[in-house]
Amino acid sequence: MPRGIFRAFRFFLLVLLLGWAGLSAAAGWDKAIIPKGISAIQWRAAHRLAAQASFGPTPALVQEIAVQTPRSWIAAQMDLGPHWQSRYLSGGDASVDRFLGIDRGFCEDQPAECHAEQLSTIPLFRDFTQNALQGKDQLRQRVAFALQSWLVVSNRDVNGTYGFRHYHNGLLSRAFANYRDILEWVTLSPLMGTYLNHANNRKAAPNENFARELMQLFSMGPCALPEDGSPGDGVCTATYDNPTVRSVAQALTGWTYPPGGESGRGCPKPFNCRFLEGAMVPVETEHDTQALSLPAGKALPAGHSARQALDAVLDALMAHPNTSLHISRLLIQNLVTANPSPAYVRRVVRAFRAGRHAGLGTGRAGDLSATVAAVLLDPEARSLPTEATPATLIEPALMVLRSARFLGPALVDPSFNPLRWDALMGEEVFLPPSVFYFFQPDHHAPGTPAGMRAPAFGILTVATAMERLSYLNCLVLWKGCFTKDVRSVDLSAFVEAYAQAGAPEKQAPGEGTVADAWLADALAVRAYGHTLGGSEREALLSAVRVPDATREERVKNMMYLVLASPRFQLAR
Amino acid sequence: MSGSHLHRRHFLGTLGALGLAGAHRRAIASDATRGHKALVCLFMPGGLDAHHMIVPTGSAYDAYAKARGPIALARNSLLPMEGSDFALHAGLAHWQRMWAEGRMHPVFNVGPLVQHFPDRQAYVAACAAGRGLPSLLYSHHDQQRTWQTAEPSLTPSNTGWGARAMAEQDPTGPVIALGGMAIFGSSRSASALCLPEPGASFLVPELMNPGNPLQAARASAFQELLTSARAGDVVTQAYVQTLDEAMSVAGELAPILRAKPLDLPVDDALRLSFSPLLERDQLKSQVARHLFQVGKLIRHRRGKGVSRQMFIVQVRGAFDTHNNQLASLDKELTDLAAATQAFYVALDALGMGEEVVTFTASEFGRTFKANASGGTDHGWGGHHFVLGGPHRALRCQGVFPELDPEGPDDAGLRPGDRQGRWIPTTSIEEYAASLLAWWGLPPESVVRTFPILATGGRALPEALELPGPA
Repeated sequence: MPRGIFRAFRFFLLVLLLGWAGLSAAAGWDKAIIPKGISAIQWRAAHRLAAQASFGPTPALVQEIAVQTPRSWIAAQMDLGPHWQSRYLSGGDASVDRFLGIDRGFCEDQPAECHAEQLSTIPLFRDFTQNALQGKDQLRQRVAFALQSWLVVSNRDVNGTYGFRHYHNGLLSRAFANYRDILEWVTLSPLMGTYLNHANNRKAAPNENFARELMQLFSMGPCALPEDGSPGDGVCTATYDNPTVRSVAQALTGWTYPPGGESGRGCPKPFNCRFLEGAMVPVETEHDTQALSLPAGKALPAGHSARQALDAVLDALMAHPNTSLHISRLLIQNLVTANPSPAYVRRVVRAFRAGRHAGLGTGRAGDLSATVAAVLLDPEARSLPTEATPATLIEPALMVLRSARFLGPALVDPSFNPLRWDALMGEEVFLPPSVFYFFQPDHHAPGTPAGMRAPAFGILTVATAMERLSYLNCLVLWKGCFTKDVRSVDLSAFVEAYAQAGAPEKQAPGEGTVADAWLADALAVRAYGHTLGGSEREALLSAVRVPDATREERVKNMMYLVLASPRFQLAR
Repeated sequence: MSGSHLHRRHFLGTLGALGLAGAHRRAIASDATRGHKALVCLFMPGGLDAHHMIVPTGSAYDAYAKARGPIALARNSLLPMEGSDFALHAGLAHWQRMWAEGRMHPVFNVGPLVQHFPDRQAYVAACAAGRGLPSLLYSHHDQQRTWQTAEPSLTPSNTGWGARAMAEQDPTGPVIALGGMAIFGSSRSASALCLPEPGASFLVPELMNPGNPLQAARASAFQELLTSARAGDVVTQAYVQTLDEAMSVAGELAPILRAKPLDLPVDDALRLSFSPLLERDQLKSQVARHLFQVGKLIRHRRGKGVSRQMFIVQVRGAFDTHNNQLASLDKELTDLAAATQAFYVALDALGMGEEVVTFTASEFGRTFKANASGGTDHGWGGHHFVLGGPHRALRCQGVFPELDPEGPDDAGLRPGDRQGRWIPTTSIEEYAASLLAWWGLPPESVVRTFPILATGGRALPEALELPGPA
């Protein structure tokens, strides 16, 4: 069968399956916990892939994955056409960078929403939440979310909603692209140019900011990483020195914003005014053309253009063996585990360098579809963990989205927007405190063995830990308290299913009912992918053995515990 | 290195276990009564440009103005520090007064050092031998860890020097952090106790004080789930440990932490001193909110009989001034001075001003030369400030660098790399040891906190006498 037709046929099958899964999920909450034809072990495995590759398992998504191989689901996610691609659409236009006033701020004398809609990332947060809850392209969104955790820009330091929309749409559309191309796109992003100051950088006294972070955070990392895939905790062998930082800064001088911006103060000659859409353009008169030594022992002879220098820098960074080790590890940590074995890292690095894995990818080094496939198809990602496998704390933004997707249709507020909570839990999406993001991938949690990584513990404090519990309190027990006067959550479908399982409206004194056991199993299967044993199941059951408590009160009690449990807050 | 006109430290060949000189011996004597003392580290992530805070007024001003170009502070805008050749940024008026009272002490050119360099030749030779530069110099994240841990090697599982010093005084005492997690307070087994801002509820009442049978069932089931989790993997255990700590401290501390200035009694010293910084009932600057919390906690814990307190406040401001430094740093410094002023006015009113020493820290200083975008890039040594504590004679500490990027104090070894990144002349350990001496840590404890101070073969100068025993 020709490849194209085969693809079309596969897509047709997928549409059928999706339709069926979607319908049965929308019909609410079947009394059967796991749909017919899917074994408990298949469900559990599919649930785990859904947790790694999406913003949270839903019954429909788990079912969709369970009826095919992991590879076919991943390939299908990568193949989803542009129609399915999530995008950021909300917020104002570029008028903030065409503002000619000099005596007043852009939002002065403007409607109150000017700041939010024209300058801030609040509109992006709305779209981000909605896409995460509803978008079919879950894997693309998860990979883009991972990329923005180290290719960082922040609304804390830069204003301009449209610029952030452009940047994050760029990451979404490049989630399965080649990392070399992503680096180039990021380097020439005018938003990055203004955030790390390499836009309008002059040869006379270059600003070093971008050059340093390009090497430290976006590509090689500062210390030589062992080829065996271990994290390299010993003495740091530097991958570059400070003169190299200056060389790279000099090599990247002479880029300015794309045309389109205006300012009442005029533009800084010979450069363009700030404008945050499109790619930066060279200004050769401000490009330092002298001979430079580059990372990885490469050299750049004198007389280069800005474009030649850019290519030479990025090629040198891609050629350095550290880049594949660093980026592969980051992807594993973001999607699967904070503590991959060295062998797991090696296998993913091989895919990054080969540019092809499991039949996916173009064969060019740096291919992220191959790398992501290797991350998710690895035996370490696919074999089921034991209770002793070190868990990974779910960062607050993911925890919020996972719990919202867990609720599914019970989340009735179409504008669900848990904005304030992100700040309280220490992770305001799109507003990282610095280019070092909210936390570091090599963060160590005291009390765990040396060498163990726990990235999200970088923002886990007694205060934020408490806020995680408070958030769930609001979500489940108070039916959501995110928007004024709006009840975000309606648990009646859960309560109805509980009734159908035989639960009486009022709990009788005594040992509880079979329906309670059904509820505990059903919620656990939905949240964790499997039923609980022993004391955890007993704990859930004890929470509903409250005489006279109503069905709804019992469902809420148990649901709160399922989500507040460490088993939901950390993933294996 | 430079021919400084300032107090010049003499160098010891090696430092014996108790070689920290007189400061410590006097400190022990004065600590016999074990009165209350609190150390507050004011950490400014991003890389604080202290050349924008303290400026030479004599002949060195011209060198300063030349290298700084458009971001140089105008001579006539500066606040002179009487009796010295230095002046302060116009936003630091309160620090100027504290200087005049002998309660603000600059410490020049502090930073991480693998070893001291008697002169530039020694530095160049050490670099050639690969022993010149600390690991991961100029990297924000790594230098934050270097400053906060001050361990001989840098690994993710390092412990903080705040936690090590606290363990010497009180093995159960926490280091309290405001403004986010800080490795400064991490021991092998626990993180800093990192507390919330004013107004945060810091409670889940239904879980902690259940009010009806449903809540009681939920709360006890939740504890059962935590018990199960404690038998789980090591990372889950660490998570549960954080939750346990949260629930155990929240009952006592939540009401104190939640209070905003106007929630306190009308004549409360903290309310009075922080009220001028309110904007619609909220403290508008982050550093003010943090120091307000620290003030309440110091008072509360002192009242409970805690004799040694250690805090770290991380000011998440715009200190990484690669561009537009004039505007962004002016605002940060004004906020900083206003917050420390409110803090010390309250402490003095409470009679605790002499018991609380606040010191600045940051991962690195910045290039002395400005770049083309009106900012400065990552440097090495930086100037710092010690506030409060006992009143002492006016004195700047440490060695001010020669303000010449082409001169002997610059770390650059190649022509293009001479940007005025100063080779430090006071190490982090020396700065810290001096503060811990005041805090009442005996010399053997200081050496356990910083084993490098006992290591033979490393030339370290004697500890600074800052702020010095009362």
